[in-house]
Amino acid sequence: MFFLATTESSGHAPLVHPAAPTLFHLGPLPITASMVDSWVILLLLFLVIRLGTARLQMVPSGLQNAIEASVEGLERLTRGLLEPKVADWCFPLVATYFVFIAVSNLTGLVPGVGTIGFGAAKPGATLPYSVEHPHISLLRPPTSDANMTSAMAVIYFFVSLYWALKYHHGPWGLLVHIFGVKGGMKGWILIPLALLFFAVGLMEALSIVIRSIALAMRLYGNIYGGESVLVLMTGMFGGLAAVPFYFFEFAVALIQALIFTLLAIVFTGTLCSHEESHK
Amino acid sequence: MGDALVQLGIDWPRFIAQLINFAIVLWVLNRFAYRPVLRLLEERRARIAESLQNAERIQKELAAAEEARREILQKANAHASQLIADAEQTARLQGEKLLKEAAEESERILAKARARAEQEQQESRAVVRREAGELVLALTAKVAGKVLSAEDQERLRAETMAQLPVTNRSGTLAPADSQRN
Repeated sequence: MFFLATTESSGHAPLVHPAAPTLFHLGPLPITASMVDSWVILLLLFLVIRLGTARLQMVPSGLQNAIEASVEGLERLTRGLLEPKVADWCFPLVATYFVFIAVSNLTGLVPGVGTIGFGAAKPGATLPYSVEHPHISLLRPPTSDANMTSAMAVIYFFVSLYWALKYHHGPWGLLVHIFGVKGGMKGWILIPLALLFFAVGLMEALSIVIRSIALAMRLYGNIYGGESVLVLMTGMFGGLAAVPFYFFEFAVALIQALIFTLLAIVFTGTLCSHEESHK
Repeated sequence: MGDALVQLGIDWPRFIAQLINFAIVLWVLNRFAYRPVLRLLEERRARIAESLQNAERIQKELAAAEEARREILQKANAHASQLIADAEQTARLQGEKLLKEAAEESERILAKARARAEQEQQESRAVVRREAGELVLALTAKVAGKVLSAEDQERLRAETMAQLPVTNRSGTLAPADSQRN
């Protein structure tokens, strides 16, 4: 955050602006390129899913097979890490994280996303409508917009808190889970242990808050950084320099989706579990 | 902190708009992808389990039928061999009985024939003896007829007759017997 502040103060405008560019205003609501992109993604997902699952067959083929494999794979991942009950609560959200983040990250690699937009006209360009650099691009991956990653993280924060309360039967159960003395000790040793575990619980509570911020910023930083690198490299050696980075960003797109999803599952696991499973 | 948020372009309207966007994506995926697909997977799993169970049951029934068939066959075989053994036993007994009876019969016939031959021999011997006596008597009468009186003749005859075998003591039977032989 301080880093961002210093770059801005030095007067150099970043290649890709950290904030998604606003295209127009709809009443009080600014419509940004990342919003438009998320609608495109929504439409795309909707079409693919309707095509694949409109008529579900007992013996699957083609698109239905692919969708089934994805859903089953994500479900297995969730079930492998969580108790069955918690996995049932958790699955729709974490699966959506993976699908949405992966598709969103991949749209950043589609030619035209981030490169078509408004900017200063390029002097002496032979092609019409050439711009030096699109300061306002029409599309931008939602995951490279801090609003979207924060929204996902905030949703996760509140929903996981709700699951934790449900799992531990109310706030008291959750407090005991976080601050309680673990290990099943008895006698005078409990007094120092209680102090120790209170300190541990404070750190745990802090980490619960920080986790969500970290989730949002990790994803945003990776994808925004990737976009910046791609734009920078496309400007070098006639764009050839960008080729290895496209492969790299392709991997990053899927890995970041998996990381966000896995961390969401694992954090849910630490919140919604009994001490017995730790032993 | 607030400055950083501005730098990142985070503000409430955009944030809430993206929140809603993500919620819509979540709803769409859950409604149209996860729920139907998971239901289908569960259905398919149940059906496969059922088919496997059915296959197992059929296999078991088949094995049971095969077992029953073998048992019936075995029983039938055992019964048949029992029948055959019984029949053989009966036949053997019957044959033995018949053979024994035949032997006895032949024995009896033989004995009878032997007895009869004996009797006939004796009878013919008696006849010969009587006839010889009578011949002697007649000859004696012829020779001594002139010498002996009727009384003497009668006495002589009686003495001779007395010396003849016991069986032919009754004079009336003797001629009939000799005639028959």
